Amino acid sequence: MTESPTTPPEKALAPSEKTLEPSETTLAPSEKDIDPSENSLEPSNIIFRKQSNAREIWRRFRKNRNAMIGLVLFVIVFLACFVAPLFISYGKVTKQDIRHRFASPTISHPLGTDHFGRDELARLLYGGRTTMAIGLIAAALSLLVGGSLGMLAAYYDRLDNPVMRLIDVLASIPPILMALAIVSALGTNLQNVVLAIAIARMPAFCRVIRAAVLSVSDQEYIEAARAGGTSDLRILTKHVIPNCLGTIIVQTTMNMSLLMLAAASLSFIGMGVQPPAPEWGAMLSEAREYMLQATSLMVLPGLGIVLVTTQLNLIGDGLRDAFDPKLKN
Amino acid sequence: MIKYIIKRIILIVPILLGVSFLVFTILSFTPGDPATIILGNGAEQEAVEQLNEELGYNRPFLERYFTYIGNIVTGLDFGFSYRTRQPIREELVKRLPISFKLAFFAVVVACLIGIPVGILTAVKQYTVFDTGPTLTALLFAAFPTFWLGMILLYVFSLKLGLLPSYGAVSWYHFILPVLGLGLPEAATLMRFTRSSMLETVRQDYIRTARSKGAPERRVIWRHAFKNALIPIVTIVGVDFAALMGDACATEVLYSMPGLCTMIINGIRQKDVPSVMGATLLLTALCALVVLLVDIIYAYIDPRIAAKYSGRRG
Amino acid sequence: MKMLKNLFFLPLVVFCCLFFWPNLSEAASKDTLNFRLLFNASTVSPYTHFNDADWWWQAGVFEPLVWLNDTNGNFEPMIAKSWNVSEDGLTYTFNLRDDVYFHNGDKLTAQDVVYSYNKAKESPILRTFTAPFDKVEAVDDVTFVVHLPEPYYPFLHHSSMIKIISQKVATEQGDDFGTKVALAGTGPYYITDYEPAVKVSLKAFDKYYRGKAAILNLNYIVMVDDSSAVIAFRNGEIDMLQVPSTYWAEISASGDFQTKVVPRHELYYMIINLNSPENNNILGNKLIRQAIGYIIDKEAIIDVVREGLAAPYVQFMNPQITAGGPDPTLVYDYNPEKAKELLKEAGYPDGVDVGTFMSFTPAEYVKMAQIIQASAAEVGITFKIEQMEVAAGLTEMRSGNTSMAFCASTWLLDYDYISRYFHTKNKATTFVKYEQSDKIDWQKIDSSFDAGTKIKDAAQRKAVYAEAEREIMDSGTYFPIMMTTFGMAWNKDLVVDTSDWGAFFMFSPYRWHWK
Repeated sequence: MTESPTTPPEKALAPSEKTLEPSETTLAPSEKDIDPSENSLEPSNIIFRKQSNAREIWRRFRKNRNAMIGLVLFVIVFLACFVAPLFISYGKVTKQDIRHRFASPTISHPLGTDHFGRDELARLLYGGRTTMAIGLIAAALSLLVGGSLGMLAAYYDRLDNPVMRLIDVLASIPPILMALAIVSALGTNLQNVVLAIAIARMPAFCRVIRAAVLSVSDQEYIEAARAGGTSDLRILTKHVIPNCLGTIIVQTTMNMSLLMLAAASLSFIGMGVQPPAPEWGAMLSEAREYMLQATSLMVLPGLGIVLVTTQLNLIGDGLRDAFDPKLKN
Repeated sequence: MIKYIIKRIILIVPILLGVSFLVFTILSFTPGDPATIILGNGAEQEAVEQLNEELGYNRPFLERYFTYIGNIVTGLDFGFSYRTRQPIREELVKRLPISFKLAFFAVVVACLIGIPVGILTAVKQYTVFDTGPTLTALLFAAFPTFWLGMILLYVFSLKLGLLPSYGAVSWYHFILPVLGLGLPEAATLMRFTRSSMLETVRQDYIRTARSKGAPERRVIWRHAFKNALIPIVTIVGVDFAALMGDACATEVLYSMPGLCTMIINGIRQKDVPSVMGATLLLTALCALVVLLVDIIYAYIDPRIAAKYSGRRG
Repeated sequence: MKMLKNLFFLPLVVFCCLFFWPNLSEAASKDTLNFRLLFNASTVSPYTHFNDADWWWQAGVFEPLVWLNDTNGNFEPMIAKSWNVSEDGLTYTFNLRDDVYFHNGDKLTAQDVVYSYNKAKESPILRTFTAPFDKVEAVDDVTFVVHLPEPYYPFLHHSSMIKIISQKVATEQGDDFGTKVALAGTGPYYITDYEPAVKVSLKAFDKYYRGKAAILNLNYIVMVDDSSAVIAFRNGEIDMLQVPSTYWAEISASGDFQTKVVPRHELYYMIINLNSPENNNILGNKLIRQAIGYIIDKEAIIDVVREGLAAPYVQFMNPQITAGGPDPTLVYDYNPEKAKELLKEAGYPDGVDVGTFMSFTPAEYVKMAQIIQASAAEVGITFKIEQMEVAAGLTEMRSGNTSMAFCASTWLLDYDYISRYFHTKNKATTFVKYEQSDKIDWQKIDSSFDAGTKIKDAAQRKAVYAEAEREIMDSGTYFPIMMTTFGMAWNKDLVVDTSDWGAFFMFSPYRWHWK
């Protein structure tokens, strides 16, 4: 979902006399009375309860069946792709066998071979690694830059306007076209793809985190800390960031899947990862040319993308609910 | 309110200027020049220079940029494509309807499927009518549009031979791309409608309505849906704007002459005026759609209208 | 609520009905042929920068004076009935037909030809073909003379690239000529509809001097994506297709279509920059360059990249059909053992990393790079692949910044044409800067090319050019890989005359008809 530059704040969406429904949710009785603040994204503003909060959040997350299924499946896929190097050497990914192109599954090639006669299973596993790593690193990068900008904009009033106008400009270019322009400018390789999609996604992070920080920074204890002469750096790291952690984690998870899709789309248009390194989007793009000859090549990497994205969405939903039980459906 | 709208429209101008400068810079400082690609690898250097001169690509960067902006401001003149020498404005006029139709119908499909099913799942929570669609939506929301497009192409065009695989000539050319783009969007919208409905259903006034003995159907449509609709409108509008730009892969897959393909080809061929024109148009459109949504939104939700007209107006 | 409903749905429905109701396309009939265009069309003018797509559809609209039929090596008359070359090779006289009409109905005169040649001379893209002449004149309405400052043997072939347009139409349209429908050609078809990103439509011309075409309408539909084009072809939406190589096996084996493999003169070759600074100029070592030459597995490349639609090549031009083309001098065949020996001799028995391979982004280049990378790895030569857009890549190559790259070029059928890639006077366009190296006898290459154009005797030319080619092949800087072919497929009910389909085949649907 794209954040509109001026969509009215979320709190206005629901009628203000909001009461909690103690119905089917996993809501613990003790949760009901915390967080009187209007901001719906960040419930826990009481810093000294951080430790117990984490446990509490995990407990709620664990009770969410869908989220747990997502997490377990994600861990399985993640392990499969990242532990694969222990069992399959990278050589198998690039080893060509021109005489056995498009081979059917055999013992040595459990999923058959591709148009170079390379082992499809090895490529799928290593490809998943690349795709997921891109999503992860790009999300982290985007969070780091976009998040910091958002935080600074929210915390220092005089930075707010310039930073947000810059972000408005960035956000006005459709993300995929922005990424396309950046990749074509910097050259097509893995680092640049990550950089491009991270920059293109930055405005979303910046806005959400700015909103979260804004809602925290006018709290009384922050005012108190400021008045007490605590340095800005310390306030930011000790008070502001921990209180926005929920937003940050949920946003990052949700955006990871979007970034993965963006990277795959770029690869699909032919501006992605460098061959012969496998990547799911690039594998799909190659397989498209062989639609008539080998349909399975077109199906498997796509399934991989759908699986991981679904799992990330499930986990994200679960995390959101766990951080903020009010939003639980 | 009027003042607010005018203020918002004026705010679009600096955004467009920023976008234009950003994209122009990126395009100008990448290696390669239009004449090299037009003339190919067998061209002589004199020919390359002659053509770059003809195209005006040899002039300094800032001069080119300000001439470009100047021409737009004074005469709505977007220049000529380096590649085809067609006026960009006419090209945009031809391509805009295609991108617009694609995004528009994709959103229509998303609404027609996403909203009713979303309501259904919310009303019948915890039944098979909830879990079935919810799981399906979960999957579809994760589909890369280009992959769904490929599968639709494979099944309906290649195997069944029912629908064309290319172009944007008449309505049946649009069926596959619109579905490919619209279905994942429908899934997202369904999920959103569901949670929005569930949230509304839990509100006090719904309970009040129920306890007064109003029929369930009336409660759902009159009270719950009406209130759930507000955030849905926002999402639909914003998604429409996003889809216009995110249709790249779909336009490429179905060889549709839309704005995104214009940008992609333009980037490949260093056709600066093409890329600039299409990007500016898309940006302006997105900004306008978002503005429109905000206006509708303020119109629906009196609290916001009051806020703007009261303090800032 | 009611108001809300009206607010959103009523305008929406009205909007749909009024603005978006589709117009159904007319049914295809037996007097129509639909083709695919690979890219957007880019111009109506035969002198501004045309691309491959334009070359296809313009073939039926504009005609040259003469045309080289490379299936038999003969020049065939088009607008010119006959021609002769003066003894000193400086004057070419063309006798024009007197029954040639432009599409606007006007009769063609030699004055139009003069105008066309002068206009072509201004065009950057035709520069190669127009460079040899300095003056043209019309002696009378049907006699046209070209003056060359010095003998240039391949000129007649060059002249077949210069199409003739109507002076009246072109001057009337002025700067707009090329961007919109113009009735300026003399070919069997005239343009009726020109939408560069969608399609170009042509109609048969009544007054064509060789008779009106049997098929009345031609549509060239832009379909950039290969898969969608193949599907459209299988579904009968287009009637003839230059089949993308990855689909060729299926299409040709299906039995549903007529097919023919057509030669073309597009050579894929690999370039190694001997001045590359990467890894302390490791590629400056001739033995390593030659070793790389021996690990190019041409058969595998043709299998994977072209699905068989190419022929392996050991030199730059085919000596059988190229004027001045020498016989093979030094041949690099796939030979990993030899490569290993050379590597050992160079002092790298355990392998060596040679840096970066720049590949253009189109899939064929990337696939080739991967095959060479894999076979290189087997003998211990490693490199990484970096993709670049063609525009950026070409610029980098020309400025000598790339270490290794591929290129594909379509040559004219005269050996002099490739001098632009090797002669050091073309500093800006050569890919390998020989003049910056003292390890190569570039003076010899230059003088061979200089001498070549001034010799009329075919055997002598071959001998001169053989000198250059041996030097280039030995330097290990350019390795020819394959000459590609077209796989053409068309509807079973279409009767097509393929007798003149050589590499420069005059795409002439005017002689075809439906069964």
